[in-house]
Amino acid sequence: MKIKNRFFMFVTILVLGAVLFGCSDKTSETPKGKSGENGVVSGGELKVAIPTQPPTLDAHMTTALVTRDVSRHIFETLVAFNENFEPVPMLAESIDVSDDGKTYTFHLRKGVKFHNGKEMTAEDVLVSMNRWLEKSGSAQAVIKGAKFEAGDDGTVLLKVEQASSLILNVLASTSQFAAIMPKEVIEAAPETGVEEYIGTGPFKFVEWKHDQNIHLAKFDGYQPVDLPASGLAGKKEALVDDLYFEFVSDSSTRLAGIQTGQYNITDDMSRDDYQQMNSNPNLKMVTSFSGYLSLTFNKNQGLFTDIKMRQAVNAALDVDSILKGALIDAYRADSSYMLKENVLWFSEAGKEQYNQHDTKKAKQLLEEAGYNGEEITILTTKDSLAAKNATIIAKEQLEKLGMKIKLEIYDWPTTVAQREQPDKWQLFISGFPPVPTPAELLFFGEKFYGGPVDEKIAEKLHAINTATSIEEAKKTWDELQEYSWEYLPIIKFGDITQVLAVEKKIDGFKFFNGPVLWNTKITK
Amino acid sequence: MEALEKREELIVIKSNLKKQQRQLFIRRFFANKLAVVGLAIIIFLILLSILGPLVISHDPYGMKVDDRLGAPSSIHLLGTDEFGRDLLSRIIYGAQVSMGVGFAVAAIASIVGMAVGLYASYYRVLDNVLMRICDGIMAFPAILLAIALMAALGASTNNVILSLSIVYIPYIARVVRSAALVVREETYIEAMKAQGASSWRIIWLHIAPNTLSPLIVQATFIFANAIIVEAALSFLGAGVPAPDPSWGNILYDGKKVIFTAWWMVVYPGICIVLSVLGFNLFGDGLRDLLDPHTNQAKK
Amino acid sequence: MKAFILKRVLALLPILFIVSIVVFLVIHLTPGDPATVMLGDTATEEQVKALREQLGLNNPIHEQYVHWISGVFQGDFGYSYFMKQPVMDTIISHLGPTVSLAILAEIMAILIGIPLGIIAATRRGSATDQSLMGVALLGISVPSFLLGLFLVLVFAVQLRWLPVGGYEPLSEGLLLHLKYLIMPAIALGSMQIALTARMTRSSLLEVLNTNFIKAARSKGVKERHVIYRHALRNAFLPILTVLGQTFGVLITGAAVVETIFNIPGIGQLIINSVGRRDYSVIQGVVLFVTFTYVFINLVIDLLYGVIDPRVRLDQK
Repeated sequence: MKIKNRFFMFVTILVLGAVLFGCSDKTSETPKGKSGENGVVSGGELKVAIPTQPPTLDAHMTTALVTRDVSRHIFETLVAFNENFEPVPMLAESIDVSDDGKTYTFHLRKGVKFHNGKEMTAEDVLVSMNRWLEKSGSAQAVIKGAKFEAGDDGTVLLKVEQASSLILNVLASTSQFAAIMPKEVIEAAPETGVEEYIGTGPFKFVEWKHDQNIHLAKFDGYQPVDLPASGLAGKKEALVDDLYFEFVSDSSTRLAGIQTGQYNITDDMSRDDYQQMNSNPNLKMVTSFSGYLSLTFNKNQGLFTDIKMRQAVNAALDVDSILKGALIDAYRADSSYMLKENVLWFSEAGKEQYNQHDTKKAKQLLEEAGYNGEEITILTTKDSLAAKNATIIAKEQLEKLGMKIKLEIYDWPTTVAQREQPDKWQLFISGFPPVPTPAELLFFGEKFYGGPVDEKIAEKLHAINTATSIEEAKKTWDELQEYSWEYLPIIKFGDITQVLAVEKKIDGFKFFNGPVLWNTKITK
Repeated sequence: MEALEKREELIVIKSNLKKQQRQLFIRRFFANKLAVVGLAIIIFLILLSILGPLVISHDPYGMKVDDRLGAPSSIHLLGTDEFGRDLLSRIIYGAQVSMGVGFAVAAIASIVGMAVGLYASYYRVLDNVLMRICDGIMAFPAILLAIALMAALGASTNNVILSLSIVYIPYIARVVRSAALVVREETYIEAMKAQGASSWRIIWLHIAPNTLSPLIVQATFIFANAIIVEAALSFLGAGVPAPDPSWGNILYDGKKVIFTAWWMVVYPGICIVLSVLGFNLFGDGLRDLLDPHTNQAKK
Repeated sequence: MKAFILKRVLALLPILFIVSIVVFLVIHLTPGDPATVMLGDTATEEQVKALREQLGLNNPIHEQYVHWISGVFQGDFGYSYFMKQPVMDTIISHLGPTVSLAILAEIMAILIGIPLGIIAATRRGSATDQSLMGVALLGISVPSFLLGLFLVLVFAVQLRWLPVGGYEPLSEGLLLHLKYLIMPAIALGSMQIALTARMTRSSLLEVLNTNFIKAARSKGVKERHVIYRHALRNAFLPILTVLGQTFGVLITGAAVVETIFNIPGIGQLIINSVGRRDYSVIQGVVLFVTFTYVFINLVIDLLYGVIDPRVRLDQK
């Protein structure tokens, strides 16, 4: 019996060994595909780990950034931003603007094919763009009442009620973008969005394994524009055969995954793991600014309808330690509502109000406002680690000032439900995504959850939207931001650095308001 | 009248018997080394959570962002967390929260579960309804049910306790009911009924005491399980909300920095294992003593 | 037999009914709804309200329930807002990983737990017995998520033998399938292994104490025969119960392990669906899981009769 036992154990060890041995060979496998010159492997598969699954791939439907990141590889727009945030034609060949600035004529590119083989027509564009106008928050904010109509010779006309220098910028929005889809797909779509993902982009949709991955593949019929690649515009080429977006919610799992070669690119890495990533000779970091962390005041009702209360909080906060605690060193302390990279709109106006950390002044303001120890609820979501951590630190700081703070930390859907009820919160901490133009800044919107802004801001905003020259608009924008830092619809904490880990053998990868995976290849 | 007197005599005899039994019980318990180890662990953890806060010098909520994720050192014996808070203090306060949740869940589930079990055993009609509800709750895995409940109720320590209590009530109710069903058939209960004793008296004064031993054993295991499930819930981000510390949510934060700050995973992990081990050892020992069926087999 | 099965199946209906109402209420009373998730972080309230109206989420809750439950009776479990497919298809596509995981964990429980239990029982009181039972107790006390984290650190990050997470279906090859599942299965199965070992030991000891075994021994039957022919067969009932119950726990309770290892199974489906407020999926999965659990228990009860003819099914 003993001998038998040993034999059994031996067999077990053998089997286990075989399993493990069998396991270790796959990682060293080279990517599939043909070797080209300079050791470049054309084709192969690119695996990108992203933190969440998109709610849909219908770019018109949602403002979710993860949809933007995936869908931009499938769908294209009439105009797209180049790397200087200037809108340039993409699916349009050229654009004419009427003298009064109220009619835009889009000449479409010929021979552009959808992934289903159908050629793109003016009618597809018309249906797509009108659906987008109706759903897009940015379009509603800037070009309300605009309409697309059919023009002569297969052109498409955009008619707006008011001339503005920003119209093409809005059409080139990167999130909730104006994707062109076949007319039939849109007409068949239920209220939760299109069910077929057919675009004109360099990659076509293959399969969505829910809660696991989205598989895109190179679209052989793609017609690139004959211009150098820049931002989201210019020549696009799928240099890999297969593109996988893997959903990996846990950042340490993403890190472990890229270290073991399971993924080629991982998004949204924790800055705590920077050393780990840096010490790995196969990895490089790609950083970029993905928006900013901020505190929103409830101006609809309660304590913070009083501007003095808002100013007190702004005077008190030690923004540096909030940023450091929330984002480690993955941040840029900066007061501009428009990111520094957006050269056109970047502004330092109002800077002196930012990061004051002046307890004395804050206490005085509190006294003037007549604050009397009322309980203040800070609302935030645990789904954003940065927002959650910033909230915990802000609570500490405000309590030191003598404020009575209560935290409400929920998952995202509950947070939104709470936020809709003005009596449930006073302060709300969250991130804002970058927007191309000031008109799209959420907190200046009429229907903003923090409550409407005052007339002065609304007037200046209108002046910017309807300015006939960019210079004029820019000047008004400086005044507006200056005033807004006193009025305080929000307090901007600082820009969030998004860190991506990329294998060194990945070449040509760019980040432009999200990852750009065309013109990206795997070298040996 | 006579019958009553006799019963009182009986009770006196019974209570003497009980004293002897109790002494025997204690002696036998202490003969079981593993159970004693379990009890020692439990007492240690209780003392830690009560006396610990008096000893420690760091504020478990005090942040020093510059000291974040510091390795264990002479100042911070177990290192610091992602806000530069002292991990030892947080683990000690976490002991209060985690053990507190375990205790509250075991207590609430025991009381409510006992009532459910007793009344279910006594009234046939109620039995069907209550037991079907219990079946329904039990058929659904504890963690998933707790996640759904937490989403509905909102994150707070009290809601964790409430959710887990709901999850565990049926486990107590089942045990109590089956023990009570046996007692219910005994002749003296029938006799009391015939004498017109109120059902309240019968249920709580005569049936209930007989269900105590299986209930206590079950409650011990629920205590252990509640600690695990609270940790699992917090680990999934749906448990005790920040900034309050619990072993589970320290672990949840630690998971994100597992490559740089092993101490944030290892120490709360040890605490969880230790406490669960303690309750399992203790519970095993109790069961051996109180449940003669398995007792015979094991000894 | 038939009558027994029929009775049990009928008893299932009220359970499912109660579960359906409770879950429907819990999930619909949870703040937040699919419209907010669908439209993204920065959608305006107006847009959210419009979509809510279109999805019928503003209808009275009892109307929504009746609408849903009447669909269920016709075999229609609803349609997922996010998967864009019927709920049943969603469940089926997420079932594979969970079932594979549960079966693997169960196989480990049988192949490791039962032999260990037998070894401990036959050497009762020895150092082997005590250390085995000590390990088993530790196995029960270490939560799956801790063991999972530990395994990832050692085997995926340090040794790089195994992937940190993810899933490959069996159709991609058995080895690849196992490579992804072996760590999660150990994390999930450790408790089952320990429980099975303990139960095997204690029920075997109980049987060994009975008179017929004593009689067999005194007759000079070989010890091996005593244990494997007679004792084990009789000890099998409680072992089977534990295996069966834990199988129910495994198939439904893999949520945490699936989250750690990023496995797209039923557990992750329900956690993600709660996060998305994908109502019909949550409701469908809950009903499905409840049904599975009760069904497995029914099968175990039936197996009792097969293994031990003395058990009369209609007694209960």
